[in-house]
This record gives sequence, structure tokens and C-alpha cells, in this order.
Amino acid sequence: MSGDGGPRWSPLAVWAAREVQREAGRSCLLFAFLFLLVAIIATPMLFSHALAVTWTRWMEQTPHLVVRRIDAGGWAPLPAEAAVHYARKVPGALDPTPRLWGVATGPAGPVTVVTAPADLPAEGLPGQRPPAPGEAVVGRAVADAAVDNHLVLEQMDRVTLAIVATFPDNSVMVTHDLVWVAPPDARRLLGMLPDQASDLAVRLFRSESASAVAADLAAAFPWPVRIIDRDTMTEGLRRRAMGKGVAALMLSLPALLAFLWVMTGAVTGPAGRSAYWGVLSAMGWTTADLVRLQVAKALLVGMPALAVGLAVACGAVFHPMAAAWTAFLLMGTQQLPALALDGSGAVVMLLQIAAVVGLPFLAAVFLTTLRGVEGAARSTMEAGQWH
Amino acid sequence: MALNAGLACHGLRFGWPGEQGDDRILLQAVTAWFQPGRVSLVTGATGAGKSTLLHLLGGLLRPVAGEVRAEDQPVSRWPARHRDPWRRRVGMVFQHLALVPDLSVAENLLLPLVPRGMKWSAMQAAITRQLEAVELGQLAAKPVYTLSGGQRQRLAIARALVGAPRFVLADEPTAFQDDRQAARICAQMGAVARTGVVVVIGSHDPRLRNASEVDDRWHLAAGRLTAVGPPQAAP
Amino acid sequence: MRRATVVAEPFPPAPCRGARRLLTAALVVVLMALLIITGATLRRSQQTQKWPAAFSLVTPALWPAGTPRRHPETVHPGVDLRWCAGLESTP
Ligand SMILES: Nc1ncnc2c1ncn2[C@@H]1O[C@H](COP(=O)(O)OP(=O)(O)O)[C@@H](O)[C@H]1O
Ligand SMILES: [Mg+2]
Repeated sequence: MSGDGGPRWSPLAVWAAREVQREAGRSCLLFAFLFLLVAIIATPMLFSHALAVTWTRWMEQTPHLVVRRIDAGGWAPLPAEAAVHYARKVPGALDPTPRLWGVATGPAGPVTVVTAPADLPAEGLPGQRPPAPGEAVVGRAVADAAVDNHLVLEQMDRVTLAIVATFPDNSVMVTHDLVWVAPPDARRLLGMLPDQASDLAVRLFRSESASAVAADLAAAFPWPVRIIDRDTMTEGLRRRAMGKGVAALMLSLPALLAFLWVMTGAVTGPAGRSAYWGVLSAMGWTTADLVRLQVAKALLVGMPALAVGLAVACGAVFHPMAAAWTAFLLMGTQQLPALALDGSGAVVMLLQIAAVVGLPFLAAVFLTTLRGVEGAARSTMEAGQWH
Repeated sequence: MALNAGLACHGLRFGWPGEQGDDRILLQAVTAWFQPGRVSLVTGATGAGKSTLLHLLGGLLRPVAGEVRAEDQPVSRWPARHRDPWRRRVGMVFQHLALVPDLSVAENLLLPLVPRGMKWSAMQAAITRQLEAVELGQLAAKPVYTLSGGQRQRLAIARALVGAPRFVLADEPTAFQDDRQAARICAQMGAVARTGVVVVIGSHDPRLRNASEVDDRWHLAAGRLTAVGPPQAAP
Repeated sequence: MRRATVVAEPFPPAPCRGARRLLTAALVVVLMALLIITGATLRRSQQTQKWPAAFSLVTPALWPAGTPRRHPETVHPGVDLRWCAGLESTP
């Protein structure tokens, strides 16, 4: 036993810790450096990864195609029934759904006004009935801006709504600026007639057929339409998920790693230690022993630094409030109160980052030690460090 | 006793870089046999090369010619990867001590033990034993820089002995000691030798030259090592 | 020698307590960080919300309402957006 309880560490591990303690300044410097490096690399990469995963997940529920009627002045409302009728004629276009939605000016800026079809799917928002006329279910940002639970929206008309509920916080990425109202309120607000819809959402049997079906759809309608498809949008979003921060990081990664190499060599290298290593080797420490010692020291400082750096990155990405700030800093998007991201696949990415930083670090420690140990015993005795 | 036991050197030749000229070469052709179980003393004027000889015997320097044989193994010809682990069997007291000043007394004794795969408790027991042997038990936790010169030297002796070496090479082990401690160190070296260890002391200290514990005496001068008859050898 | 027998020797003489504490602390830190990491990455992968599909939304609400990024379906094909390539976030 160790004599004072605690885990049974090997003597080499204890001695490595003793040396880390002896070199407290250097060790703290190395810890801080590794921690910052990992956090700086991991946060944007993890964020963009998680954002892409979350988006992709979410995009699976979105319509494959959206058909919008256009005219010279911009867009024009669709006659809902006629549009559904035309779309049904196109093979491959499944359940065309007229959407009634638009942008209105709220108390704190534009909001997205949406409606749901009368037959809301069974797995609808848990415990939430659709709003009746005069009521609204709102996203977090709209709720925060509302006074007294009342919301005044303005577009073609002015509508006052009572807020009856708020969307759950973990859906903020989707619902941040949403105002869910009853269709009559939406029509009044957006100036649409009872038969009109904003556009038409179409699902496909196979998403690969998007461009073919889109062409058929365009031909099927008697008015000019513009059709956007999901895959193009997903791709655009994925590219945006990368953000400028990640792009800059990818460019500077080689420089960061080179810096890691130099820094590790400087901090763990033999400077000022060759006399000490000479004494150790005079007492029977082999080169392998010295390398083991240095690697143990490196692990003792490096593993907590890596783990804490990754944990901080995880916190910054997966804690909803921190993630909102991270999104704001990395992407310059509008600041969200919270952002719930999907963590699947993140472990693989974390392992990759740990390897990208950890392996060059260990290699640097290994090589600088080997170089420093070479002839340490002779150099001690001959260079007269102790004379 | 087997003729090949102990530490032997044959035709050992060594010169520091830049002193290769024949007249300036430090050790010309040193041949000697240091037997196990006996204390051998190498005397010589300062600068004669006693320390250099001990470093050669301990495998810290390589001879230009000749060889060092330990238990009939040509250790001076071994590559570093064999010689470094062999040094665990050598306990070296450096003239300049080579202690690590910011470590504690006991931690300095831990240094040679760490790579040996010993149990932690066995290490601590060995350290306690050696500290008591050199009368430093009370100072175990003190950092080395707070010790006096004599205490440091005794610590260096303890560090040489803590790993239970087969070969003890002590360079001026009594240089900073008072008479009582010098006598005690002589006795300690004698006791170590009695366990079958090769003990070689390099010193010009007259207290050692006259010590009864010393079995064999050698004198180093002009690059040659010659055996000296013990003063009290006459029956 | 006599003195040494009177006063108890400290044992173990080289406990390296600080070093042992450092090792334990490092282990604890690594384990806690791993706990945080697994917690963060596993907990979230469970959640899949089906209900937003009812609204047939096209993009997430990461950008201000009314802008082309938030509502790409409102962009008229006649509007050439090339001027803002790469400069989207500049005022
Ligand atoms: N590291 C060294 N480099 C060059 N010359 C050395 C070195 N160490 C010792 N010498 C030389 O070797 C000679 C013998 O030194 P040393 O073996 O220390 O003698 P001693 O121990 O008998 O006093 C001295 O003349 C000294 O100048
Ligand atoms: Mg000398």
C-alpha cells in the first residue's frame, strides 16, 4: 500500500506527478495552452456539426417543394383549391398542402405568422389545441416582447391577439419568431381572401425526383410560379452551418498545430533539464524510462486539459443558453435565448479533435525527450554541470 | 573466490578531449581488480584522475582503449541500452554530489528506485533504512538546499546505497565530514563490503588511508595505478 | 544514533502526498469532463420533435423574420442576390 491510502499509483506515475508539481509554472502554462487550443478548435467544429445534424434532422420533416405564384410585382396569393387541383395532376407530387403564412410587424420587429391546417396531425404539439380566433401561440422571442400577454400585429390590417401559450423552449430553433394564429386572423392580417393561400407545399415520394417533379409542376399551373426545393435549401443551410468561424479555423489549423508542436517542445523539452536527466541516467534510468516519465507527465497535464477543453466546447454547444451565444458569436445570426442542438455523432467528432491535438502533442513530447536524453549522462559528467 | 568476480579494468586508457597527446593523457594503462567483499581505496594527488577513473568504472565515461569488466562482463563495451540498466547495480557517490536541491532528502533517495519496478512500501522501507544509516532520519522531509555540506554528502552516500548496489564507487566520501562521521562512513563502507559488494573509494583523505576498514590500497599517479602494501600488512 | 531511537521517524519518509493528490485530482477532472461530454452528447440525441411538421416550415428561425434567409420562398426570381455574396452579415 501507499502508506496513506488512496489509489495505488505506480511509482513512475507518482514521480511524474511530483515533477509536474516541481514545474508548476511550466505545467500550468502547458495546461492552459492545450485547454485553449482544444476549446478553440472544438467549439466551432462541434457547433457546426451539431447545427448541421439538427438541421438535417429537422429538414426531413419539411416539404420537399414549395410552389409560389409570382407576378411582376413579387408574389401573388394562390387560389387554394385550384392550386391543389393542378398539383394533384402531376405524378410524384404527394399531398399538396396550401400554406397560409406571412410576415407581420410585431411590437419588437417582424414576426412569422403561421397557421396549421384544420386537421392538425395526431402527433401535434403535446397538450396544445390550435388557437381560436383572437388567440395566438407564440415563440419565445415574441412572448418576451409582448406586453400583458397581448400582441398587436400589423400588416395589411391591425390585429390584437391574446397569447394563450408559448412554444416549448427546446424548439426555439424553429419557433423563435413564430406566431401561430387561427386562419381567419391570418387572412385579415395578411390581406387574403378566404379561398387564398400563400403558397403550396408538396411532398415527394422520392426526393431525388425533385427537379423532374418541379418542372412538371411549373408546367401544370396556368400562372408563373417559382418552386424551391428542399435539397438545395439543405445544402445552403449546411454551408451556412459551417460559418465563417469554422472556415477560418480550418485555414488556421495547420498553423495552430505547428504552434502546438513548437510550444510543446519549448515547455517539455530538455532546456535546463539535461543535468537532471544526466543524474537520473547515472542512477540507472534508461532512455525508455525517461521517455516514459516525460510521456506520463504529458498525459497527466494533457488529458485533463483535453477533457476539460472538450467539455467546455460541449457546454458551449449543447447547453441551450450557451449555444445561443455561441451561435451569435460564430455565425452572427440573430441572438436566440436558447438553442437545443442534436448531439448524435458528436462523440466521433470529439475523438477526432482529441486525436488531432493529442497525437502531435505526444509526438512532440516523445521526440524532444529522445533528443534531450541522448547522451544526457555523458553530457552531465563532461560538461561539468555540477562543478 | 572466483577470479572473474568483482570489478576489473584492463589496460584502461582515457584522455579528456583536447588532451590526447601521449604525455597529457590522463590514464595510461590502468589495470586493477577490485574484489567483492573488500574495500579498495584509490589515492592520488588532486588532478591525478581518481574521479575520472571512478566514472569510467561506473560506466559514465567510455575508455579510449582497454575495458572494464564487471562480473566478467565487458560493460564498457556495451551499447547504451544495455549499460544504462546495468548502472542500477552501481551506487555512485559523486564528488560534486549531484543531488537535486529542490527535492526533499527522502525524495532524492526515491530517484534511483523509481524505475526499478519496486513496490512503493519497499521503497519507503529502503529509504528509511538508509536515512537512519547515515543519521539523517530526522531530516527526511527537509529540502536538500537547507542541508549543510556534510549532511548533503551523507545523503549522497545514502542515495548510492539505497538501491542495494553490487558495486559502490565513492568519490571523496569523507571530504566534508568531521572525524566522527568520517570514521562512521569508513565503518559503513566496511559493513557494505562485508555483504559481498565491491567498494571502491577514491580519496586523498589521510583519515581513510589509515582506516582499518580499508582492505586494498591503490595509488594513482602519472596515469598509472599501482597497488600499495597496507601499512599494517606485516604480520 | 541514540537521538534517532527516541524521536519517531516520519513514515513513509517520501510520501509524495501532493503528487498523489495531483494524480487523483487529474483523474477526477478527466472523469467529470467525460461525464459532462457523454451527458451532453447522449441526452440530446433522443429528442425528435414531430409537431413542427404541421406548419410545413421551410427554414429554422435563426435569422430575422422577413429576410430572404429566413423566408427563401419569398425571394422573387427577378431579384438578383449576387451583390450580397459573402457580405450577408455586413450592414
Ligand atoms: N569534464 C572535464 N573536461 C575536461 N577535463 C576534465 C574534466 N573533468 C576533469 N578533467 C581533467 O581531468 C583531470 C583529472 O581530474 P579528476 O579525475 O577530477 O582528478 P581527481 O579526482 O583525482 O582530483 C584534471 O586535470 C582535470 O582538468
Ligand atoms: Mg576528484
